[in-house]
Amino acid sequence: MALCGAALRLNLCVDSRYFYKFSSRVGVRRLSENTSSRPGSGSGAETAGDHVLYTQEHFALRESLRKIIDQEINPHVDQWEAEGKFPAHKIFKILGSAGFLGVNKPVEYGGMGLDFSYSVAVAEELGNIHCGGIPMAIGVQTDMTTPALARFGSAELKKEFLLPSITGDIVACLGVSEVGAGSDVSSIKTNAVRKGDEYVINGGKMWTTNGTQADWMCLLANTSDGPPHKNKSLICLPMNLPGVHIARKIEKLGMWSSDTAEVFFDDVRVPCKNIIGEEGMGFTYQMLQFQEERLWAVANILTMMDNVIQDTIKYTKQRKIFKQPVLHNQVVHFRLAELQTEVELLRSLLHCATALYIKGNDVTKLASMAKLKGGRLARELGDSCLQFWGGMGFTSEVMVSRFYRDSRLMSIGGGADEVMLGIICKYMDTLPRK
Amino acid sequence: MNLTTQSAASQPIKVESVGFGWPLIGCAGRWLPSGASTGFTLKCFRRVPRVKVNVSSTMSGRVLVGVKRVIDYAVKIRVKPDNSGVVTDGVKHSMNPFCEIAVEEAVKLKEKKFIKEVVAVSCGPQQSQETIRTALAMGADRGIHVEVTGKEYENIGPLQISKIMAALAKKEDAQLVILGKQAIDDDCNQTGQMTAALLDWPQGTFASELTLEGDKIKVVREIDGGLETIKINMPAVVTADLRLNTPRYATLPNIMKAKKKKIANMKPADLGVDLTSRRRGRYRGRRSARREEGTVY
Repeated sequence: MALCGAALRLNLCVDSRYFYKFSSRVGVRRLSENTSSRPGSGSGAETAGDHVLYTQEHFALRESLRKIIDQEINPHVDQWEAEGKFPAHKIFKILGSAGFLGVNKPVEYGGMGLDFSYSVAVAEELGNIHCGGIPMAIGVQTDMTTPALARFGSAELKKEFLLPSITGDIVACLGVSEVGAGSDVSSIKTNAVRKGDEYVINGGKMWTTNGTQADWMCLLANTSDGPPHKNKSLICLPMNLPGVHIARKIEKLGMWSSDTAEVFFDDVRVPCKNIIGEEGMGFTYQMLQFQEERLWAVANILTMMDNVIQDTIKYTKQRKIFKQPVLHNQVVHFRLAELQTEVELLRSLLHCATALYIKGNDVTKLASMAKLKGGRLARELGDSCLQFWGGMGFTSEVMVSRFYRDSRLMSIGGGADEVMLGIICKYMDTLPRK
Repeated sequence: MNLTTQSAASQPIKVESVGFGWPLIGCAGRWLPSGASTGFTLKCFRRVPRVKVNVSSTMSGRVLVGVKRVIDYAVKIRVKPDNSGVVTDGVKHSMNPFCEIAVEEAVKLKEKKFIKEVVAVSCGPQQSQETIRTALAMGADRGIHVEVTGKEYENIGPLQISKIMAALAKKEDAQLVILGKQAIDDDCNQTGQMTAALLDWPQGTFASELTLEGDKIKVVREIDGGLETIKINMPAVVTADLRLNTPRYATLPNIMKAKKKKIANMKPADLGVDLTSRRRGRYRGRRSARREEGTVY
């Protein structure tokens, strides 16, 4: 387009309009091959009528979200990755004002009241962010800390915590995992002892995404002495209460732009009305939202995988070894074809599970399968593509190395691969009986 | 004794902010707002809404905005193997960026209550409706889709579009037509100017600032030497330049609301427009030029 080139040359106004932002970094520019792909895989695909799950509104939603990502988020990702933190309040406010943080939340509290397929569309589009940390942080806000509150919380509690979370005015974090309990949620040690009209909380939480910036935490704690699946409750905990210590920001292998904190609770007092739903039901509430959480994670990583494949094609097409492009070696284009096939299979599983879920079915088995495959495929794909990128892939200047690091978390967090396998075996009835 | 109510039937709504609208019974003629003299009048205690309209009521308060569906700016263009054009099948399309700026300006005018209705117009195949929906999601009130398909669509150019826009501007009784200054696929920069000429309306092109003052428009234009300020009468045609505004994001609530807004369908023949192209010659593309982005010429 002559105009945009001219605009770049003239470099007049420093307006940050999105169509000025031609980053010349490899891997940012979209190819027409990328956008000419099958419906639903790229954002704003033409044949909206042909999609199994998405309607025109889904595509319009994705286009609008894409503009926000291109203009407000992607230009700053490199800087935030280097700093180890992204400005959660600022970004969540932008997304909240545009209505993207409460897609499937009740209308009375500022949400859109749409079904889960719209959340999946948002998740797929967020995969276009040039890192894994920020989508993860957004996912925590929209689909990990707030679902139980939206479904079971009291009106007063929803007004205090849910409404501002949806508008993006406050940042939420999830307090479930601990130093001694990750996959084994039932063995958490943080307890909330009732003293009069308050709960006194002691203990600590680990792997708290958004922990250093959060205004409130959705905390899972033991509130009684009963059996381990029936003695836990979810509590809305403001993070500015005395006794809440953010011990450290954890340095991680990937997801650098997302701040992850270790938090301690030292006699923290919280009013009893801050409990979500019924006491003792916390574990159940948390389990209920896992299906959504896992499908969300899969939707997110699918777009990232698509993008990595396209970037790899683009790079290997112009990179020459032994007088021909790397892409011309059969092992390269055949392997990419294999990977793309697997991505499509995973996409079909995701859309199938989502379609069944919004009709009211229990899709635990399918969601667990999708999460399992997502984590493993991301590792394979990251590894193969990194190999094809060669030396450049090993540098911090390209997207593939960041993807390699960020995506490794998928097999660990949100339900480790082994836990997923256990769930699938339970449904297949192959677990040894006690 | 005449009983006159304070209805507007006999008087034009000349717009000044009327006071309370609670008229007092008083002497004849003295308390009437526009000074029409009558004999004895007993005014009704009927509350008149406080009216403050910036637009003369002889104007319709309607703005027409043209939006064009073009290949997305970020897509790498490929020439077709037979050199007859560029590949458009399956390629991502979106609204022309300058058209977005035009829509944003129209919606801003509506929010400031200078105008009453924003109508988004697009000429093209079925998919142009998506572009109109984007305009609706940004705040336009309704859409008009002029259906042009197939060979006609391949050959259509600024002249035909201007004829359509001119016909629509008359049909819809628009007081203002806002277009993008040019489209990013053909870079013609002709439609706005041609539309104004066909309507014999004043034009304010390359607008970087737009202010409505009564029934005139003050336009600050970006020209080669700098900025030029002109004042033109309405109805007029304005074309939007880059720095006119920053288009808003279509928020999710507005995207869902846009579903309910109406898009009218019509054909160019319904407007009495003849689409024969005056263009001759075919596109003869060779291998695409080997230019890298960032190259300075």
